[in-house]
Parts: sequence; structure tokens; C-alpha cells
Amino acid sequence: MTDSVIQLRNLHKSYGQLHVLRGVDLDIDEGEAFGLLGQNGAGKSTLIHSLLGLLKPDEGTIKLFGSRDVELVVKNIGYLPERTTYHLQFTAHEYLRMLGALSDLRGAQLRERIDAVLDLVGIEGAADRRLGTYSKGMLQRLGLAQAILHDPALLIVDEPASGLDPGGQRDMAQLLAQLHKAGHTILLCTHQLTEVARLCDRVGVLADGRLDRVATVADLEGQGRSMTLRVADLPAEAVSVLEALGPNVRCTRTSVVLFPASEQLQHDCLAVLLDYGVHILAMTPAADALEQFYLNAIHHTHPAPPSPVEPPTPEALLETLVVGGER
Amino acid sequence: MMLRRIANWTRFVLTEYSRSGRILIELTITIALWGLFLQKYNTTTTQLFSLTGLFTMALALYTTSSILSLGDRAQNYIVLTRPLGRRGFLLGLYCAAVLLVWAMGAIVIALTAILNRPAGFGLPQLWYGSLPLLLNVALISAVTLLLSSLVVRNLPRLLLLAVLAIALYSNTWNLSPVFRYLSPLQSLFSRLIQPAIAGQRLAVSRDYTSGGLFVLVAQFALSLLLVNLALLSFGKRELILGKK
Repeated sequence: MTDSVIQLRNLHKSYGQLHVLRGVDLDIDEGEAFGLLGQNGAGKSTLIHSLLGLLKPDEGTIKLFGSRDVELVVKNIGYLPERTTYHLQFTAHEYLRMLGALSDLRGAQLRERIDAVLDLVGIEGAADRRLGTYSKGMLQRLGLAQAILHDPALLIVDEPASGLDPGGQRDMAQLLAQLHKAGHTILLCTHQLTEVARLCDRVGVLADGRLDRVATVADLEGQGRSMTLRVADLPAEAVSVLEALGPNVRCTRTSVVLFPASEQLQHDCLAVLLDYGVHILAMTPAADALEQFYLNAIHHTHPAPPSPVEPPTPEALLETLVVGGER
Repeated sequence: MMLRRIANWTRFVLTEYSRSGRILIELTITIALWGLFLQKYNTTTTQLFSLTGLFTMALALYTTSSILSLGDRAQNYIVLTRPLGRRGFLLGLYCAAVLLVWAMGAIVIALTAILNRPAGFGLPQLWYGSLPLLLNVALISAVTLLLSSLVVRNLPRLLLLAVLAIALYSNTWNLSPVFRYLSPLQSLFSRLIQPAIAGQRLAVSRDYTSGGLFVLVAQFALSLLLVNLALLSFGKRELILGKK
């Protein structure tokens, strides 16, 4: 059994009348990558700052590496804040040297670590340039370099792809995946679902101050994508033939939902519809399971299904998609 | 280990302060003070320490505020989430401010000693006059630290400012009917500023025969108390740093 690197129990935090966190429970195990999703203002940064001891929770407990005192275990934590600004008068080398010294790295060990992290994030060529001359992407890479400089067991990264172009986002995701593979525990706070899908083992959505919906990414991905075909008027005979294709097809008079929508199933359905001369109005690939999971979490406040997530029944999916489509 | 971290952080703050050009303000004021008041006339040792004492106290207020504003920036989340911790972070800022003001005081005294040496000015004079000045800088910086928005929340800060205002309440305001009620508080709180006033007097007189050492101890003890109060408050408060 692995140990919990992060353990939150019944965490509450308010800013005056604004109750941001309303009883958050979370366990993140050693070596796990956890994606924390949520809308703007959902409380993700508040949660992270509470974890780091910068904010004081009103209620509840936080344990990092089994300790309630963050200062005792802060050596094991690397933090990349959202939209970080930097001490721009310094070069990357000087900056990392200072931060390394604050983490008790010295001499040859510090020099080796600086060279290694600059090389890893790909800015070794600009190490002696002032940070004021860096692009946003380079600064974000430097942010990751400082976070991993002291080789922490836990990495807390807040919107690492914020402000990066698509290439930069991909590179950042690759770097994080590399770190995850190397055994770092990662708490990734992001809006980018693709980032979560690429990197994380589990995902949770912070909505209404709670983290009720947690699922494994593998389970969500296993659910595949669905496809909705809107049709003018589906004859009863066509419905029978379509439903005979298998349990993955559900029909109403005006729609056909395929879940999961394999290419073969799409081909067979279209063939049936064309045979019966059904007028097809639209073909809409639905959101993938992770996106649907996220959307469901932020639009519904009822408790989440138990993790790992069971694939939804076609009826439930049909209802979700039709209702979601009208919304 | 912690001392080394604080020393590293202090060095970093001072380097940033210099490279950002903010230090030019201190340097300009320092040179201007020397040029205007201490360069030409037949300056006495008493005048030198009197002027330098008032100057360094005023500069301590400005420089400490300026360095604390450097601390209140979002980029310092990265520093705060390292083993330096909150206490080391604040102590580093405080040390940087005190060292910088000491350096400016030293420039004034050095320039005067070299280019317009007062009669009878020697190492003993320098030692006896400087010590209370150095401690006064530490004391004023500690007061500024405790009154800063980075360290104390607004309500306690207002209360502390009220205490300071009453302590500094001038006797010339006796005509005010409010004075009757404030008088007992004033006599109580004014004791808090006595070490600074006594320290300035000691620097000017350099006469340690009548309780001079006690003044130094009082300056040091009060500075220590105020810094510890600031550390306590900073350790307990929520940290939402500015986005500057």
C-alpha cells in the first residue's frame, strides 16, 4: 500500500462572506499525478495556497508527507505558481543559485543541479541572460526549473501552460510527463483537459467548493466518444434495425446516439439510415468522456458516482446528451 | 543552517535593490545631506552625530518601507515555499534594510572624517557615537516592520499607529480638551520611544558615564521585542502578496 503524500480532510476556507472551500477531501498517493480541474474562481489556487501554508484554512486538516506542519516538509515540495512574475534583474543562473541556496544546496551539488534543470527545460543557452529579456515561454520553463531544482518528491504546478503557445504547451506537458515518469508526485491545477488526459492518473473537479467528483483518467478514456445523429423523422422499422446493431445504439424519433461510436458502428448506422431514406440533419461528436465528466461536475451539484467511474448506461448518456444539447 | 539561508536571502534582496536602481535614491539623499551640511563648515563631532543620527532614523523609515514593498510581490511565493520559511523571509528583508541604512550612515561619517574632519574626531569618538546610532536604525526599522501592511493586518496596524501617535503626542497640544484623557496614555506609551530619544542623545553626547550602557541595552531589547512581535504576526497571518 502506498502512502498519501497529500491528505486533505474537510477543508473549509472563506474570504469574509465568500465560502470558497466547503469541505474538501483529497488523498494523493506517492508517485501519482492528480489533475485538479475547476472553473475560474472555483478555489483551485486557494486550495494550493492552503496546502503550501500560505493561507490558513478555517477548518479541516492538511497533511503533507504525513506531517501537519508544512515548514517541516517544504524541502520535499516544488511549486510552480500561476502567472509567476520573476526577479527580472537576475540571470537564470543567479536566480537558481539563490533559490538553490535557500533550499540548502551548495557548491558542486548546486552547480550540477542548476546545469541539469536548465538542460532539462531547454534554456541552458540563455542561462546568463537577464530574466527581463526572456519570453513568456522561457519564463514558464524557468518556473519549472526552479520548482524541480531541489529534486522535490512532490510537485505542485498551477496552470503550467498559462500563456504558452501550442508548441510551448506541448513541451511543458512533455516535461511534466517526464517528471511523472521519474517518480515525482504531481498535483496539476489546470484548465487544459488535454494536459490532464496526457499526464494524470486521476482527475478531480472542484465545484461549489467541493471535490466530490474524482475519477481515474484511464476509466474515463475507456468510455470512448459518443456520436449523436439528429434526423428528421425515424420510422419504427428503422429503429428496430438500428437497435439490432447492438446495445451501443439508442434511438428516439429524432435522434440516434452511438456510444461508443466506433467507425464500424457509424458506418453501419449510416447505411441503415440511407437505406430507409432518412433525412440526416446533423452529426455531432459529443464531448469526450473527460470533457463530459468536467462539464457534468460544474453543471450539477449532486454527488459524484463512486470512483472508478462506471461507464454510463446508454439511456443515461442519451438523456445527458439530449439535455446537454438543448442547454 | 537558517542563518546561512537568511544571509543568502539578504544578499539577494540587496542585489535586487541595487540593480533595480532604487538604491540611487538613498545614495543621492546621502550625498546631498553631506554636501549641504557637512562638507564646508567647521563641523564638530557633536554636529556630525546629531545630523547623522536624525538622517539615519528618517532613512530607516524610508528604506525599510521600500524594501518591505519588494517583499510584498507575487514572485516571492517561490521564496516563501522554500526552507527559508516566513521567519527567514522577513528577517532577510529586515536585515537588508538595516544594513543598507548603516551603509549610508557610514558613508556620511566616512566622507566627513576624510574630507572635513572635525576637531578631536578619532576612533573612540567614532565608536561611542556610532553604536547608539546603529541601534537606533535597528529600532526604527523594527517599528516600520511592525507597522507594515505585509506583516500586520489593517485593524491591529491602526491600533499600533494610534499607540505611536499618542506616544508622540506633543505637549504643545495641551490646550486640547482631549489631552486630559490622553495624558495618562501618553505618559505610558511615550516610554516606548524613550530608548530612541535617549539613543540619539547618547550619540550626540557620547557620554556613557550616566547610564549609557543601559540606553544601548534598552535600544537593543526594544528592537528585539518589536522584531519578534513582527515575526509572530507574520507567521500567523494569511499571505496574499501583491501582484506588482
